[in-house]
Amino acid sequence: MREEHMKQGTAELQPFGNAIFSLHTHGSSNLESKLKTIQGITEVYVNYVADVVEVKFDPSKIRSEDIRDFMKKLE
Amino acid sequence: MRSKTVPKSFRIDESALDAVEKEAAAQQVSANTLVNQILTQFSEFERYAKKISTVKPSSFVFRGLLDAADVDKIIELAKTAGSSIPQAFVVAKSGKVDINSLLDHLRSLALYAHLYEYSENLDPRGEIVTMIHEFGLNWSIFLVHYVTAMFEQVGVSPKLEMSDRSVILSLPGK
Repeated sequence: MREEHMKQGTAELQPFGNAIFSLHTHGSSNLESKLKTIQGITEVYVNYVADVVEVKFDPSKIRSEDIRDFMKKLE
Repeated sequence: MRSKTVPKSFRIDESALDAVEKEAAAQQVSANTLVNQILTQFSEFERYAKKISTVKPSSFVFRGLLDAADVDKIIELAKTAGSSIPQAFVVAKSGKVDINSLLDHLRSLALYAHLYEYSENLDPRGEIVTMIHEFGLNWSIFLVHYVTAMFEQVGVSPKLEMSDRSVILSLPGK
């Protein structure tokens, strides 16, 4: 992820966040669409086989703890 | 995350297809999505994990073993494992051992082995990786020594903090 981000070739690295949460702990129906409504989240990918959700976000707008808290409220 | 897809036909076992279609219906996704994720898990993790004789105990058993273990033995094991297993894994996967491939290894352990939840924040000042888990203090102790030994192999000494349910590592920016 770090390598992928750096390959984007910006002279000044833009802040970037990536988080992997367990669906076993934080599962919810329509999770992907609910997460995509949050400002600062740029990409959501639910992996049903690995039982995780991977979230890319802008850390200047949201923290991974905030995303975790949001998911906990959905349980 | 998603990457480019290509069409390809396979003949597969009928009972396997039945299981995939039932699971896809239960998850409300297409069988195509599920098959793609199964194959990705194999290509990204399972085929390398079997090279290091990976086993899959339940989280209940894993936590119980950790709680029962002697801390000094855990530290000794973590140092030995951290200085060999990640290297074997990333060399098989990417052909090189560097910060990026080692971070990818930590990410894979979250994605496919459920050893912790993972988050990384990257900015010009550096990178902060947080691993959150429910396996207790002994697992945090293991992770701290595993990660330290792992990065020592590439001459990097991350700053580490831990609690009974998290380990945070900080890497300086380039």
